[in-house]
Amino acid sequence: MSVRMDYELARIRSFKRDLLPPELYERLIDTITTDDIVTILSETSYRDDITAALIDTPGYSGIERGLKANLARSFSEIVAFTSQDAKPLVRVLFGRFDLSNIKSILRGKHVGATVAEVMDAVLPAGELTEPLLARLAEQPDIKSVVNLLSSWFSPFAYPLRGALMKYSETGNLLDLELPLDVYFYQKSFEEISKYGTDMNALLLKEFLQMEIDFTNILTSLRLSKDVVSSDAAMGYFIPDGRKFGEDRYKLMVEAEEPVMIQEVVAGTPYQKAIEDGMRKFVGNGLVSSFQRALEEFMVRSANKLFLVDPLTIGVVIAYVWTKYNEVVNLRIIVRGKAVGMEEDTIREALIIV
Amino acid sequence: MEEIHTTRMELLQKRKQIELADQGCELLKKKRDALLLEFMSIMDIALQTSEELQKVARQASYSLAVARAVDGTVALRSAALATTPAPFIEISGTYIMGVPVPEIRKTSIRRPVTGRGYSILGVSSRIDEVAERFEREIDIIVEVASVETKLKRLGLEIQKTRRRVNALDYIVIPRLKEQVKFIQMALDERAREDLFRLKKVKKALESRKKERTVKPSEEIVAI
Repeated sequence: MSVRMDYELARIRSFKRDLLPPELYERLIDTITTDDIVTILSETSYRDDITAALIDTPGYSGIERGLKANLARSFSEIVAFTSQDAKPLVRVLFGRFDLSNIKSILRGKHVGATVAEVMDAVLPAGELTEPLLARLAEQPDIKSVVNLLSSWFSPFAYPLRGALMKYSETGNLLDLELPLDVYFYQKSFEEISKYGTDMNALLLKEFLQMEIDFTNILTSLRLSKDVVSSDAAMGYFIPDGRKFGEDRYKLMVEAEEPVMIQEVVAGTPYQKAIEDGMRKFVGNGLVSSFQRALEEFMVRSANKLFLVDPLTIGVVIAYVWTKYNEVVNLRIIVRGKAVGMEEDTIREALIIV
Repeated sequence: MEEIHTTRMELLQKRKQIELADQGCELLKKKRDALLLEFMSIMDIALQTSEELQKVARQASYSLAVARAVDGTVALRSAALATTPAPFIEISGTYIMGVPVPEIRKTSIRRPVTGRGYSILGVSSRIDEVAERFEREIDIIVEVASVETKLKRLGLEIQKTRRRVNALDYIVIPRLKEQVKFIQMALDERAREDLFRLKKVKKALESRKKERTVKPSEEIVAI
């Protein structure tokens, strides 16, 4: 089964033109007030979303809301115009937003949050649109959320139905979230495998495996800070990664010295990112130093796909990561300005591709 | 002004009261000094913990700003929704120099990375760090609350003791001494009056006696 994505790729190339040039970040960093930021962003594709958001929420929070709305609109537009042939592949790419939104709703129901509180914690950038997410958020409890997802034939209902019994016994949200996370990757590989040796499918699979490695490396680094048994740590391992298998994962969880972390990733594509992260980690002891370095690696790897595979789903992957990174960069500048962060600190936090 | 009976009994009573007030004042001064020592040692701990609180709060706010910037408010709110258990704090009481102070016993709310209610697979390590730093901040806030309540209670007791010492030193004891002096003077005056009266009586008696002894001779002269 092969997929032609000519229409989708043409549309995304036109989206790509709207991505911000690197020099615009410098102009934004040099701004003093919120109005200056709004003025600069009104020259970009963010204008309408930010203007609309500022009506309800003034200031930095309004800009952030505008960025969120723009991201959700851009991504859901891609999902909407994708042809039925390519939809399962694109669904894999945007499924993470649905996964994250469903988790937010489950968390909201778990603590009895209001619909407004839950809706503030979702980003409708996947297949589940804002009205659908609102319907889920309006459900009285977790069981009703799962039932509603089942009635929509949502793939996420399957692991939730299986985990519901355990959750009702333990009351631990982790019993719902963990199977959901693991199932997401299983289901994604299942969908990809239906396309056999199609170029798009292979590329998407490769990138998904890289994402799994990224998640596994970070999980193992985070677990290595706590005393976690080997069995418990394996419960968080996602199989089918690319270069960071079970053995490396176990070694990383047990790593007691920072130097051992570097040894574990030696020879993998992530070695340089881990080395970069290590330099900061030695100074601050924060695992997020590795996360940012790995995020940079992922963004740069994805961005290369614009040029390396211009006629495949690589363009969609590249656009999704680049656009997401752009919103993160803008958020860093906006939030950094709001809390009075040093300009150099803001510059250091940005990933400019 | 209270009515003072200028009697010897009253004088003795007042002297006893002065003695008691002196003893009380001395004891209160010792209590005040001991409380001050205790206060100063707790003050050192309070300063240390409050400095630590400021440092941890700064770090926590910075982490929150970074997580809000990089991961976004949506991800932060979502992770925050998963966390339910409130910190467990048990308050009992103890005494420092007889002053009742609260003893706050709490189980640390710092949790392992897998114990925050959410699956770590979908939540960024920056959010973990925010949670970790705010957990540390809450731990210190409880510690600061305990130390500052102790300080407040001890401070109030020191103030109360100082007021009592001052009242004894500058009002009660001087007033008693005045009263003793007054009674003493009154008693002395009375003694002097008695002496004078006795002298007068003696003089009168003597003159009467003298009159009696002079009269018979006069009778003889007349014969």
